[in-house]
Amino acid sequence: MAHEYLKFVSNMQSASLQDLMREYGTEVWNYAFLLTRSRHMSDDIAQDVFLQAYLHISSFRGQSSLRTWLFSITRNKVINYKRSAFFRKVTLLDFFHQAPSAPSAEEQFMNRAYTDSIWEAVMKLPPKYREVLLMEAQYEMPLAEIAQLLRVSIGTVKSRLHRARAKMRTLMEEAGSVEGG
Amino acid sequence: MKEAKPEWYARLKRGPFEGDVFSSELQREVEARAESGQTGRKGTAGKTRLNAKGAALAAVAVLLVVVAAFVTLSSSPFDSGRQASIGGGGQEEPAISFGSAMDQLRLGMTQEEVLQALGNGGVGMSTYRDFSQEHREDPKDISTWSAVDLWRYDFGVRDGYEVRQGKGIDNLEDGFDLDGIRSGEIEAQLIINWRDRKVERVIAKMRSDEGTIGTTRLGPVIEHDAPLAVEEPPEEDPTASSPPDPELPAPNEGIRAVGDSAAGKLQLRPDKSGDESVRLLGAPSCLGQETDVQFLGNYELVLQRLSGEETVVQSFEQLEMIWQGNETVEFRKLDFADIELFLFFPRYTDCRALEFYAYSVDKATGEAANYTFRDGENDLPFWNTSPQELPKAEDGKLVVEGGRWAGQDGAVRYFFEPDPEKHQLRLVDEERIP
Repeated sequence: MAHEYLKFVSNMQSASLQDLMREYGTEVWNYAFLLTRSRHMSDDIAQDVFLQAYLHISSFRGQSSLRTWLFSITRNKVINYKRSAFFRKVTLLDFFHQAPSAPSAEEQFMNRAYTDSIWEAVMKLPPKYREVLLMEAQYEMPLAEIAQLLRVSIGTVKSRLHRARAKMRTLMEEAGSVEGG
Repeated sequence: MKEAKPEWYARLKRGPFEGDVFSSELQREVEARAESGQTGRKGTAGKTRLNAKGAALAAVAVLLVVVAAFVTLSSSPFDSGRQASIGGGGQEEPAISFGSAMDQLRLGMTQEEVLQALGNGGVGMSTYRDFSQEHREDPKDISTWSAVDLWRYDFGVRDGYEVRQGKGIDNLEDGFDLDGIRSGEIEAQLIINWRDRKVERVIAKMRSDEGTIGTTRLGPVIEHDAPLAVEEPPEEDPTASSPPDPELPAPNEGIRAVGDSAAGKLQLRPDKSGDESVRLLGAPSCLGQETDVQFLGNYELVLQRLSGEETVVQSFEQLEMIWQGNETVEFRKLDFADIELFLFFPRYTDCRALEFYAYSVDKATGEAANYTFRDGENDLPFWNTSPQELPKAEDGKLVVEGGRWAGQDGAVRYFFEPDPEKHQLRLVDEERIP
């Protein structure tokens, strides 16, 4: 909340940028990772998000919390990356022989590095369920704020959460690690 | 009906990784770029993290993993034109017209037959969807297939054309560049879905003379015509299990909202997929009274012309609407110099702000279009208005009094100018109001 004053400014100082990155850097990076499952892309996206926030702080008018605003930029950046990836795929001939069931080296690394094995299940969720689950569970965002960020109705958020939890239960049962829920 | 939060939520609080994932080195790079005013990607000058494999991993992240890319290296102008257009900027016209291609395509054709009919070349790809483990395929529903083989053809691509971003993660029509078609940069796009190396269905989108986008299909109609659909099959809405009330409108039938234009009628209709929920709200809240009617489902907004011809203007996925009574509601119509502007409010009340969508019917051409709200670099599908002061037209501008959010003093009044060329309402001014 310390940065809410930013809704009244048109230019951000370097010191504010540093503070902003220190306070929200991990959350923005994690959100990017949840959507992309790529460390490298998350590095790039998180950097772009803060650069855009720095350059366009005047467009933040307190229409949401600062964190939600940053998440909104993150989401748009991910969409941009997705689009470029989709339209580049016809040239990705080196991907031809990669079996879809074989985890990449990056995925194998990530599975070893998670703080909790539950994240392996989270990452198996379809992205739209993964996203809404983490908004609520990790970031503790109110439903209305999630709906605002995702640009869907609150009913849709509820429906996705319900399905996300159900899928998580199934995945955790399969992994033999149900610990409530 | 409120679900208790599972105990395992606590295990997610720490985040997926220990330590500073957004390291001080990454932060310093941002500061350096900010100080130097470098706004673009740093790939051109410095190190580039997004290599080809990185881009492929991005595809993993967006549900679709490219598992194959088949490129016939022929010198056919049809092939090279298509491939260049997908990458951005086709130079050559296809050797076959769009109409001729559609005439020759038939369901069940083999790949060899299609190549023979459309030319000796092709750009194809297979996609693999990232479903969760319990997923089951429905042979009649492409959105449930784990693997989908696609060939895409672009026709009439203008020089210098560049693919633009889609409008959202959940937009199931992202496989088509609708903006490119709408703007005339691409005349038409056609996607063939293969099943067992035979044509399963063909979906084509093209720009009509009026500037609208029409869809032509061969094969079964599927939800949203989604060749790259990433949705799982519809599941029961956990909050909508009660049987329909006989006093309520029948689900999946009729017209939910209407707008009268000089060119015809705008009609919002439930999708034919048949999963619309119609029920009483049940309890009073910010969203309405307990006797209000709540609609939830997929919808299509169509322009039914005076001639009876229909054009789909927009599709909605899992749209929630809450209205008083069960009568068909009317769009709010505002008059501008060149267009009739129709505003659609999915709900009639809220504590703070109401979402609304905008559509136009061009007075000269009769073209119907979905307008977006352009705020700086952002193109937004809807805007918010105060529930008490609904938007109005003044001096050629759309004036919107914004919602009042928690923790804010006052509100903002926004001024938008319609841009009929780009189908946008461009934010040109704003003022704070008490």
